[in-house]
Amino acid sequence: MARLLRFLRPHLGLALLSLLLSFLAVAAQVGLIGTSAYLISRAALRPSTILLLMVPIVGVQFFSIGRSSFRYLERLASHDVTFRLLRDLRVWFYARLEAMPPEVLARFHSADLLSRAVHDIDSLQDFYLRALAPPVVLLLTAVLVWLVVRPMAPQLAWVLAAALLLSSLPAAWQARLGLRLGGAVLRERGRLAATLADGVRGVSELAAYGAGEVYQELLATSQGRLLAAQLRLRRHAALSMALIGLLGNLAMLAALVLAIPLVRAGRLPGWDLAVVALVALAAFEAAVPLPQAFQALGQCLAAGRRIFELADSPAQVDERHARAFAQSSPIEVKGLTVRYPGAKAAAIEAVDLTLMPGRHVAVVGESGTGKTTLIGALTGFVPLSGGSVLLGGVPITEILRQDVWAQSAVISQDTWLFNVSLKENVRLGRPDATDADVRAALEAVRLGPLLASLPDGMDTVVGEQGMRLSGGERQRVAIARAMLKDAPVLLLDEPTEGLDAVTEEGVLQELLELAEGRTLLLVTHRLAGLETMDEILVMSRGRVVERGTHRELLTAQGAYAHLFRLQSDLLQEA
Amino acid sequence: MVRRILREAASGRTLLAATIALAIAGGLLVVGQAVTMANIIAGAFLGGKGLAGLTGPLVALGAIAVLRAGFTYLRQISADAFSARVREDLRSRLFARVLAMGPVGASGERTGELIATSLDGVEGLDPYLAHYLPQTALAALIPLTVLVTVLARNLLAGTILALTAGLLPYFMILLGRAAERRTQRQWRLLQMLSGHFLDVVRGMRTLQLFGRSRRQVEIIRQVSEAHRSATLDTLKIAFLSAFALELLASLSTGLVAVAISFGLLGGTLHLAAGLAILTLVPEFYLPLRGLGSDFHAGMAGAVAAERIFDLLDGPAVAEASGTRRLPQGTPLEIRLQDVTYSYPGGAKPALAGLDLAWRPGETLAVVGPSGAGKSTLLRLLLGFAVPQGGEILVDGVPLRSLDLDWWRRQIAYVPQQPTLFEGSVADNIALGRPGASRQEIESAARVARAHDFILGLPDGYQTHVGDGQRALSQGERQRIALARALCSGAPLLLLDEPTASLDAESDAAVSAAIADVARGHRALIVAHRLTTAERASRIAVLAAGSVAEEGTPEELRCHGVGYRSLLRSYYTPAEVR
Repeated sequence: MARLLRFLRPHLGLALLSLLLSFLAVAAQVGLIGTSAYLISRAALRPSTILLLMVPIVGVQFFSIGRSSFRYLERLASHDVTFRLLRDLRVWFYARLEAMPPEVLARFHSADLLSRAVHDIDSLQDFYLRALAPPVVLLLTAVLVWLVVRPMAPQLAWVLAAALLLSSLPAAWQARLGLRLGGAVLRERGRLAATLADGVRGVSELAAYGAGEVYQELLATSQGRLLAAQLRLRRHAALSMALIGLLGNLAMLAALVLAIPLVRAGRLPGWDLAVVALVALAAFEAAVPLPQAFQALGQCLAAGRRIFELADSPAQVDERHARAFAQSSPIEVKGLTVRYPGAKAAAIEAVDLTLMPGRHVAVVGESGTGKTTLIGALTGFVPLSGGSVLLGGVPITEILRQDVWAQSAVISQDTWLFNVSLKENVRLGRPDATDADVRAALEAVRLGPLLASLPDGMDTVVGEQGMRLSGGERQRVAIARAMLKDAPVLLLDEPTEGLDAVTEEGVLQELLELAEGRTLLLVTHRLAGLETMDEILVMSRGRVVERGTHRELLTAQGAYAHLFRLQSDLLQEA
Repeated sequence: MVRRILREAASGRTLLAATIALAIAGGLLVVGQAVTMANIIAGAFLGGKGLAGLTGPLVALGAIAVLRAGFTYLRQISADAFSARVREDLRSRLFARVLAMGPVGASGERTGELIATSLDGVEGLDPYLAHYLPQTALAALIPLTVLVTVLARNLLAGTILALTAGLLPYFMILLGRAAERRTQRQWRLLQMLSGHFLDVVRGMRTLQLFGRSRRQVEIIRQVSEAHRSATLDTLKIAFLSAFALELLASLSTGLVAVAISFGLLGGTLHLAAGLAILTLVPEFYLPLRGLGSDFHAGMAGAVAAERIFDLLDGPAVAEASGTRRLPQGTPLEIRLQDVTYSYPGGAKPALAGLDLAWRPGETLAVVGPSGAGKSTLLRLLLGFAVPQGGEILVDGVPLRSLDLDWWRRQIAYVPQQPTLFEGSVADNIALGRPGASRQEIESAARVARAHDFILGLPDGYQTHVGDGQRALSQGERQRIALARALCSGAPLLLLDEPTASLDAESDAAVSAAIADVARGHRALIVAHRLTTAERASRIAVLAAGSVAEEGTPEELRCHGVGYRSLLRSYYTPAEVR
C-alpha cells in the first residue's frame, strides 16, 4: 500500500485536486438538495416578501452549476492521474526487469510470470481512480454532513455520519469474499481458455472424427463452471449494493424519527425537517461507488504485491566493478555445472570446452540432455552452480552483460518476434541495415518466396508473437536477424528446428558459410552436416560422454556411432 | 448494434423481461417512497403531528425501504443471469461456427483471434449485457413513471422535466456523434499500447541479446506519454456529453425547486406534493446519468460485439455436403483428376493439376518439400475444402456429391500435431467411437505402441489429459492419436507425419508405431521420414502442387530425380554422398 502510494507522490497535487473536485461534486449535490428543500419549506409558509427566498434560489442555481462542473473537471483530473500512474509503473517495471540478472529474468520468463505482471500493471492503473478516491470522498462527506446537521440536531448529526461510514461495511465484506471468489473465476477462465484453444487447434480432428458434439459438451461443462463462479461473485455484489441502498433509506427514516419530536418540541424549525431528510438521502450518493472501490482496492493490493515481489526478488546487477575483455578472444568453459533450483540432477555437470576464435564445435545428444543449458550459460541466462565460463580469461560473471551479448549472435528456441513489420524484426539484428540488407538476409534463409507473396512485402506486420507466419517461417526470420548481426561468435541452438528437410539443408548451408572465419557453437540432435566440425561433443544426461571429430567418433564405436546408425538406418533401408 | 444484440440475446429474453419488470416495480416503489416521505414531513411540519400520529406512514416508509433493497437485489441477480445466459449461448454458437469453418477457415493467423474473440470478446459483452442494456431500458421506463407522477401534481414542474428530457437525446446525439468515433479509436489505441508493452516485456531477452533493451525504457515513456495526452484530448470532448447531461439534470432540479416554491407561494401546490416532486427529480435523471457513466461498458461492448458478429456472419462455410452414400463394402478407390486449389488470398495455387490414384489395399506415401501441396491434399480428402478445378472421385462418384458425414466416417485422421482434449486417455482414444469397449481401446493402443507408457501414467487409461494437467511428450501424443485413428475403425487412414524431429528414441518409437498401424490398414501418409516412405507400397513425389514422380520405392530410388534429391536432404552422412 505504502509503496503503491509512493507512485502517486509525483502527481500528488493533481491527485489531491481530483479528490477535492470529487468531494465538491458530492457536496454540491447535498447542497443542491438541501437548499431546495429549505427553499420549498420556506415557500410553503408563504412569507410576506419573496426577498427572503432570494438567497436559497441563488444557492440552488450555484450548486446546480457547480455540481456538473466539478464532476467534469474531476473526471479529467482523475483520468490524467491514472494515465500518469500507468506510464510511470510501466517505465519503472520495465527498467527493473531490464536491470535484473539475466538468469532471474529467464526464470520469470519460463514460468510466464511476465504476462501476468503486465496484466497486473494494467489493473494497477485503477488504484487511484477506482480504489483510493471513493473511500476518502465518503469520509469527507460524512464530515460534511456532520458539520451541516450538527447545528440543527447534534444527535442526528452523529447518526447520519455513522450510517454513512457504516455503509463501507457491506462493501468491504463483499470485497473480501470477492477476492476469494474472484480467484475461482480466474481459474475457471483459464481452464475455459485451454478448452477453447484445444478446440481451435484440434478443429480438423473434431471434424474428421465427427466429434463436434462431444467437444460442445466439454465446452458447455467448462463454460458452465465459469458462469457459475461468476454468478456466485455477482450475487455478493448485488447483495452489498442492495444493503447500501437500504442503509441510505433507513438513514432518511432515522432522520425523520429523530427530528419530528424536536420539531414538535420547538427545538428545530419545521422547515429543517425536509432539509435533514433529503440531505441524508443525497449524501448516500458518496456510498454508491464503494463496493467497486473495495473490490478494486483488494485487486490492486494483490496485483501490487505480486509486482513488487517480482521486481524486488533478485538483487539488481552491480555494474560498478564490471571488467572488460578483449573481443574475439577464446571462450573457455571449465568444469561447468548447472543445477536448477529444485531439480534433483544437475542439468549439466563438469563440462569442459574451449572455443578458440574461428573454431567450429558441435554439441549433439538427445533432447533434454543439457545442450540448451550450455548455450544459456555462455550467454549469462543460466546461473553457474560450479566451474567457470571465461571470456578472454575473464569470468563471465564479472563482465558487463551488454558486452557478453554484443560479441555473439544467438539463435535459440525462444527467440521472440515482435508485433511490428517483418523488416523491423529483422533489422533488430543491425539497426542501420538497409532494405537491401534485410532482403538479402531473408533470401539467405529461403524466405524470398514468402516475401513475394506477402501483401506489403517486408512491411507486413507479423502479428502477435509472429503468429501470421508459420513456425518454420518464424524460425527463419530469427535466423535472418542473427545473420544480420555480424557478430564474431555464433551460438546456434537447433537453428533449423521445424524446417522441412530441403529448406533445412539450404539454411544450414548458409549458416555454415556465414560461420566461416567466426567462432561457431552448434547445438543439434540431428547428425547432419557435422563432418566439417573441428570438434563434436556428445552429451548424455548432462555430461560429455564423447568428444572428437566426426571420423574419430565413428571409429570409436560409442554413443555417437550408435546415434548415427540409428539415424542412418533409414538410409540403409533406402 | 443494440437491435442486433437484442436479436442475438433471444435465449435470455425472459430474464431480460424479468429484469425490466423488477426495475419498473422498483421505480414504482421510488415514487411511493417519495410520496410517503413528503406526506410525513408535511404532516409534522405544517400539520403539527408527532411520531404517534405518523406511525402508519413511518412504518410504511420502512417497509418500502426493505422492499426496494429486495427488488434491487433481485434485479441485479436477474440481469447477471441474463448476461450469463446470452454469453453462454453466443459462445456455443461461435464455436459451432468455428467447428463448421473447419481448418481452412480457422487456420493460421485466425487461431489466436478466434480464441480471443470467443473468450475475451464474449466476456467483454458482460458489462454491456448486465449493466448497459438494462440501464437503457431503465432510462426509458423510470423517467416516464416519474414524469406521470409529477405532471399529476404540478404542470410547470412536469413541463420542465419533459422539456429537458426532450433536450437530452438531442445533446447526446450532438456531442456523442462527434466524440464517439474518436473515442472508440482512442480506446483501441490504448489496448494496443498495452499489447505493445507486453510484447516488449516478453521479448526482453531477445532485445537484450541484440543490445536494444535499454533504449526501450525511453520508448515506453514516450509512447505512454504521447497516448496519455492524446487520450486526454479525446476525453475532454467525450466527457462533455456527460457534463451536459449532469448540467441539464442539476439545472432543472434547481428550476423545479424554484417552480415548486412559486407554486407554494401562490397557493396552487401543497407542500407534500412539492416535496415529493423535489425528491423524484433526481430519480428522473438518475437512469439517464447512469447511461452516461456506463459509457465505457457500452463502448467496449460495442467493439466486442462487432468482432463476434463479424465471425458469426463470416463467409459461408466452404464445404457443401452432398447426400449420396456408397454401399457397405464398396472398394473406396480414390482418384484425383486434374485437381486445382488456391487458398483465399494465396499468391499461387496450392494444387495445380494434381493427378493421383489411391487404390484399395495400397499404402501410399506422399513426399515433397514444404509448400508442395501435401497438407492441401489432406484437406481436400477430408472435405475441409472443395477443389476449384478437377474432381476427386470415390469409386467413380464425385466427392462433392457424397454425404460428408458418411464420408468422414470412412476416414481416420492423424495430424502432425494431434490435439488431446480434456478428459481421460481412454476418452481421447475413443474420440471417433464414443462407445468403444475397454478391450477395443487397449488393443488400438497396443498396435500404436502406446499401451506400455499409458500403463505407466498415474491413473493408466483414466489419467486426465488436456487442460495442462499432465504434459505428455510430443511422441506420446502422437501415439495416442494413432491409437485414436485405429479405434475409430474407419477403413481409410490419413496420416500426417510430424516434421519436427522428436529426439532419436521417441522418433524411432513413433516411426515404428506408424509402420505397425499402416501395415494392417489402407493408409495415405504424408511422410517426412524416409523409413516411412520406403515402407509404402507406392510413393508420390509432389512439387509445386502436382505429382512430379510416382512409383514404388525401388523404382524411384533408381529413376526418381526429385526423390533422390529428397533422399539426400533427409540425412547426409558422408558415405551416401
